[in-house]
Amino acid sequence: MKWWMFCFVFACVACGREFRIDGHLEDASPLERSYSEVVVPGNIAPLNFFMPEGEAIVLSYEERRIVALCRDGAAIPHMKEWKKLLAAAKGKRIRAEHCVRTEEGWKAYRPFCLTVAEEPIDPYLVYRLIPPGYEMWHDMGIYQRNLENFDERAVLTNEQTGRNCMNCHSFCMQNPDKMTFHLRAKHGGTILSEEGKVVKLDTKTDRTISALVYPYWHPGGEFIAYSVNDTKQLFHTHHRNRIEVMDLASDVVVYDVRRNEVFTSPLLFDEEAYETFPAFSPDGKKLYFCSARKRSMPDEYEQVKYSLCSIDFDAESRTFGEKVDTLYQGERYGKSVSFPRVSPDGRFLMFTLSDYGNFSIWHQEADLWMLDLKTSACYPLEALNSESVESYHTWSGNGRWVVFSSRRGDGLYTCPYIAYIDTEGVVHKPFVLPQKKGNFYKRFLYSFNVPELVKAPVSVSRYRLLRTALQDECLKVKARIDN
Amino acid sequence: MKWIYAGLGVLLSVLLWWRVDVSIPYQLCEWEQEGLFLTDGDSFYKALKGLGGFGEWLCGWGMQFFSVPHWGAWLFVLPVCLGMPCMAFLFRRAGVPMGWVAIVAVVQLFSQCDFYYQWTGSVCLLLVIALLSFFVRWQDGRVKALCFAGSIPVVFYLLGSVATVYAVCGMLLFFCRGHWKATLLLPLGCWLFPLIFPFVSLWAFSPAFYYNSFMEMPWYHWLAWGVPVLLLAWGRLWKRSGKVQMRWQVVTAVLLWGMGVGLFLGGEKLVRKDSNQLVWQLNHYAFTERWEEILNVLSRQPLTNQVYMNYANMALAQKGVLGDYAFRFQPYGAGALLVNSGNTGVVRMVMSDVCYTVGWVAEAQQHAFEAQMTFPKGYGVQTMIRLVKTNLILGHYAVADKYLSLLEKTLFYRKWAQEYRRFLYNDEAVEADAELGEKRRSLSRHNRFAMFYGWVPELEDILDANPQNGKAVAYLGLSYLLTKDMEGFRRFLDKYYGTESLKALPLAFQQGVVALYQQEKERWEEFGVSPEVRKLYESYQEALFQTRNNRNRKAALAPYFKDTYWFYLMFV
Repeated sequence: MKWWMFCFVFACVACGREFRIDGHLEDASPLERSYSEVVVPGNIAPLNFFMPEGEAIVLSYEERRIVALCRDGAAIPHMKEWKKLLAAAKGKRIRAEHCVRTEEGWKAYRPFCLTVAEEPIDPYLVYRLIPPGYEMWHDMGIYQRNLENFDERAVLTNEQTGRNCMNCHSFCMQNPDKMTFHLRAKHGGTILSEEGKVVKLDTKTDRTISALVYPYWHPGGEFIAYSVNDTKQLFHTHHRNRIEVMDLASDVVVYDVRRNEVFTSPLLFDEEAYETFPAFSPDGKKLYFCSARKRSMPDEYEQVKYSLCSIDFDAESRTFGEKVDTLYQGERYGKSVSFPRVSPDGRFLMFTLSDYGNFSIWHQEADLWMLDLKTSACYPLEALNSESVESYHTWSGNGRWVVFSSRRGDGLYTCPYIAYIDTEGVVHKPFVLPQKKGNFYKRFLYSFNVPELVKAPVSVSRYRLLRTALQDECLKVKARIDN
Repeated sequence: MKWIYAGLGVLLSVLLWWRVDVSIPYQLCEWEQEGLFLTDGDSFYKALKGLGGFGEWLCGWGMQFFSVPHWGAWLFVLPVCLGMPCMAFLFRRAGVPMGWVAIVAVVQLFSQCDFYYQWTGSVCLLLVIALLSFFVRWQDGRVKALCFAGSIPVVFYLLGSVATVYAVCGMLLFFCRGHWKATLLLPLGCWLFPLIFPFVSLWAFSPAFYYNSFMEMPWYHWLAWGVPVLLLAWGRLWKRSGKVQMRWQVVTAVLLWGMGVGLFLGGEKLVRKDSNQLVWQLNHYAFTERWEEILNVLSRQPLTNQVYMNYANMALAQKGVLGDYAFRFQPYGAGALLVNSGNTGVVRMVMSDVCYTVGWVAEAQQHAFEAQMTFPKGYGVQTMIRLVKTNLILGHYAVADKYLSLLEKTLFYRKWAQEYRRFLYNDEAVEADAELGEKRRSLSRHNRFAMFYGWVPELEDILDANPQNGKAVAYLGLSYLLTKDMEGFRRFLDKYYGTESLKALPLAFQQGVVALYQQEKERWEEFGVSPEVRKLYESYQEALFQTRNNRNRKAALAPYFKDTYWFYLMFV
């Protein structure tokens, strides 16, 4: 549609001239597949309705009605009007009519509905932006995005830390005041931020195979479970999964924040197994993790199948249970588990399932599955999965929302998707993180990595984080790991 | 006098343009290839959000023309040329002899010629000098001082750390003892105001703001800022008594201009690195597929490193004559075909080029991606074009679509991107295309971890998939010859000679056969060794005999036999 036509229509709409639907089409809108029966939180920024230029969407609830014209590839409702509509339709369904301009005027496809959930989503999403590359990197940073509008700010970028690598940010129970992340290469170390106090740790010990890697906070905030990994990256000559990242060795340890030491159990430190991706249960009494039998690498990389396991944990005595329970046997089903995450109410455990290995973001076949911890039912989340990869995921504090990483857009660049999960573990159709401009994802050359929902903005200042990151002195972590 | 200065200025500009056009034209091309300037409004608004974004956007706009022959060089020296009259105007006001403009121009150009110093710094310096010239004309001192002070934060936000030069020069020019608060204190406060933001460091006030953040800025970049400031300070602080005679003015001017030209011609070699210039030239030729010119350039000099050899062999392969002339450029080891590793953009790019030439599409894609990571913005036109092609070949159409959408927003690659759109989601079109189709046919039927077991299995996979890939067979055979693996070469001949991949042996392979079967001359017949090769070998044997007692045997034989395999086998 030509620019001047757009301005004319926009001016008409803006000047309050009624947008009139002149007719109806019997066909289903092409948008139905993506947006029909989507559940949105009441506090989300305006959705991006992707459609051809010049088309429009009309959203209505009772007497309220808003119109959004497509520009730069998406129709994005006006913020204020959208918020008012959501507030009015809380817990109810919004009617959506996708309209196209014809010679007889605007015609609407068959209407469909979106539902506004009662429960809000945590207002902030923290993620790392990184090009989906191989070994080298350039710009990288950890950012926080206000989900209630389009505001995005840097928590820390590598522009001022010597272009090093920063990764594995993690929060305790969606609390932005308890945060940890790593710095690699220049100014290497682990940053731990607690209630305004920021320290830098040297987490490499002589008893562990590497510095601490994948984190997960204990709900009490006094422990952080980590994996330690000896990781290798190779890439394929002709495979739909471009890159293969494999562990040559890995273990799970727990870092005691107060005592500044790591400890573990022999059941998590087995030389004949790869243990990784630890995650505590919301009550802190269980530690879930993934485990696979050790293989000859890299030749047997496709035979590495991680199972989902758990072990009891007692925070008071800092001890583990004496046996490991296997909740999903990877080798038995010929699949591999990664990223186990328990819902805040302790009822469900969501995980990523792929054909083999653990670095599932590079596995096109990776999908999200759910384990009902109450009934032991295990099922794929068909509403969330696509033909491309679905991988890393995070629960909201109220357990009703999940944000997950998906490459369904083009198969390479990861975008965050948001979906509603009801109390019975039924997931609803997801929608992509809304952006201010309709063509954002078409132009953006970064992947959204490790999306984490938090209840409030990260309050520790960038300056404090930067100052700590640049200091040479690190607090050396001790290892209380027996032979 | 004005006209003399103007004439000298024009002369200096022409000289500077000529010098740049002759000595660093391919450096300009490299800058253009490592950038990706999008001509849409979104890019402009996005640029405005960052510190110094407007200056960067403006320079990005100009740098897309750097590859245009001769005009690129003019554009490059334009900030210096246009800055000279503005600087001259300021010097006149400050009482500084205008001849010093030549020195200012030269030190500025020193900075510009450093590959890791962004052209943005020079353009922004021109803009602030022009702005100062504008303010200097104002009569009302109070208003001038207030407006000047108020403009400092704006300049800082729009153009970056060059606001330091702006603020300091402005304070020197506009200082008035009677209004010292408005002409000194206020602008000083406006200049240093950003320091209240905790993470604004001194970097935001220095020329390092425009320097590659991976590198440490050399000291001489301070000259481009320091010299005009010091000269203005000298002019303001030292009052000369009486007017200088015209002839002395002319003499001083000519001397200063001459000093400036001499300084530049003599000193710019310290800044410009000749080895880098050659690599950028080769990279540009590879990007524009000018294989003959690569060979012409390399034939004029000794090849001292394997990166040059990579270019030479790749150019020979592209012309289909690698197997014949592989030893013309005195290769050394298998690295002459493909260097082992490299973390600079240009080395990764040549690795991508070589891999793409042979048919290692995944590796070509990987190296292009890694090269991109070294570029100032993390992406550039050269790598993006490679990524479009590799993604089309691999059938990753959605990703290729994304890159094409960006290239369609550039000035010079828009048409190319629009033409390549026809390949999207169109396997038939890809397979029918001479370049993309050949590469797709060469995709290995067996998946491996790239280069994990070396490149021989992968080359064999390519030939298994596409026996007609002549470049792959040339690289495979040569990899044995260059590593002097004669047993491997024997297996290679047994497997491929007489097949679709190797119907006839090129020159170097024939020489390899002679070396392999020295005593079995009937095998030479079998492999079709030509009479010319036999005769050459006889000459070589004779020469060996004649020089058997010569201590400098290698040097004695080199002029006649250095581009044969036998010489390589024996002496390299």
